[in-house]
Amino acid sequence: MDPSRPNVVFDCNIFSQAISRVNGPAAAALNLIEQNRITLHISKAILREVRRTLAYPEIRQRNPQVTDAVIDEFLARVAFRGVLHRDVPHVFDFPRDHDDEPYINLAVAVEHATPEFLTRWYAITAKTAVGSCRLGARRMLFTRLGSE
Amino acid sequence: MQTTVTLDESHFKVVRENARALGKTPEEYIRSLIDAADARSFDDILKPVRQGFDAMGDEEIDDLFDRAQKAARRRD
Repeated sequence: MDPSRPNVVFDCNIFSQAISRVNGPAAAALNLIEQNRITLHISKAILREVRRTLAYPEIRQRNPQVTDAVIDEFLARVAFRGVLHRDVPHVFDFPRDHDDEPYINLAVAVEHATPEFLTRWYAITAKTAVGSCRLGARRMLFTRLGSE
Repeated sequence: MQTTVTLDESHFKVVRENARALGKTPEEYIRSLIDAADARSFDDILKPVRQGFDAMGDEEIDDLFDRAQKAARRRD
């Protein structure tokens, strides 16, 4: 790992914010990927969740610019600029929200962090997420393990 | 014009697995990589989409994407 180029895992919220706002921190994070300043790690499960989220009928209804063609191009760019992990071992159970496990397991696979560390890390991020900034704070978080 | 490119087994295995993960054939996947190398940036791709969200407030967008993500997760 190149310490000057952190490894990151984005959760679906970060993708959502990057897609919806040009001036937010998530959009800035995408630009860091474009500039090769951070390395985005992705998995099939993450891509599937982003695609399914953006297929939500109300999103398409309220913003007709969100089309399959744009999402295909966007995800192709994500796959091109990111590192796709094909087989992500399941090493972490997160009873509070099993749907978040793919993100945490990918972070473990990327950084070889221990589940114990992740538990602590996730507790910190979750606490931030329910603070005054609600989802905004959570969306700003990169899953950068080892840099707590 | 069509031509043949030779890949060793290890590279083709990566191509096949990545293509499967993205729901593409190996040929489609390789074409998408070549296209992506010379493709538009994230900002260019997303410009019309972001403009489409301009009329909505941040909280409204948060709520919309929350509902969308919950619906996506219910499909699993």
